[in-house]
Amino acid sequence: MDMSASPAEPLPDDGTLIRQFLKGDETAFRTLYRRHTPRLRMVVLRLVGYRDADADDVLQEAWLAASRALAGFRGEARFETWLSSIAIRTARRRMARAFADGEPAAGVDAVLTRPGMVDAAIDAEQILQRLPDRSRIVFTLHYLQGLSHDEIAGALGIAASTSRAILSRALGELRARYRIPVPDRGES
Amino acid sequence: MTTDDRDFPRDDAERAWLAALPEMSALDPEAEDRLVEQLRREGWFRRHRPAAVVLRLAAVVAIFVAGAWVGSALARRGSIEAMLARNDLSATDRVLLLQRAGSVYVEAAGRLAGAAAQDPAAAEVSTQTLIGAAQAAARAHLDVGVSPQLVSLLDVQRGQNGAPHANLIWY
Repeated sequence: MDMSASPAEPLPDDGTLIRQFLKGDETAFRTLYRRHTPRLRMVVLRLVGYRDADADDVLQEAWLAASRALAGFRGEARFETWLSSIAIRTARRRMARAFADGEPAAGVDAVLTRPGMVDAAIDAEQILQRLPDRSRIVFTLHYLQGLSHDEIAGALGIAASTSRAILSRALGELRARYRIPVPDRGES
Repeated sequence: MTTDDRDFPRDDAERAWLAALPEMSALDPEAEDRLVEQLRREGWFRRHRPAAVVLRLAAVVAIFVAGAWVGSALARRGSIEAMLARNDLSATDRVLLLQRAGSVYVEAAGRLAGAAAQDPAAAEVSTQTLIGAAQAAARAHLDVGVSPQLVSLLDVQRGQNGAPHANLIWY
């Protein structure tokens, strides 16, 4: 199905697509899915240790849950934010497993297959991937998703002080062990 | 002691690293199709909702059947037979019913005459019906002595040639 649109006809906004989807429009749903899933999938991959199958399971569950709850979505938050919160809740069980047994993360090379992905992005992601699961999860939720420590605590079933401590440790690990490099800006 | 959250990113290197992190991941088209298929099974998409189509057809059929039944019931309720079976008719309604029944009788007699004028059985049925009607009117004292005379006359006529008098007009 060709989902492209001409420049003269910009894609409808989220609210319009949601209304069309609720009326049974499959194309509207696919547009909504393709607009938001790439970014959401990157977040979920970090939360589930870069396990492709787990990420897709979480996304499937999250989208189904969001679809069923969509009639009650009032637009008080951005749709993307609302959807992310559902995905984070959906990933909670898998994140809890990471907290419990420290299951090692998978390699990132296999999942960073987006065409045009530059080496710098892969290198940067590999630094994040080498963090212990709990550190990477809290770092992702706090710095990349903008959740507060109270929100992280609620999402993971831990104390807010624990979230702060994990984040502090994550920053220490990033700086001391992995020495965040300054990317090559092409200067000779 | 914990690091202050606001301490990150603290320099260009950290800002550059944060900016270099990929924001998106490639999509698996099969995952999208699986999700759409699941939503379709749950009935989210109108083009693929056979259950809804069946329900609509069933509703149309039900409305048609109900309409036909109501129409039939109303027709039955207004029939002469149904009106005769009712005990709640006013005197005016009963007069109107008698007029309708009489008109139907005259109409039926006319059609019989046109179809079987020379049929002895038809003549016999016509005579008996006319006598029966006259007797019923006489028994009910609905007239002023006309009916008994009519019955007598019809009996005489029937005895002579088995057919009603040609000049008798009932309605």
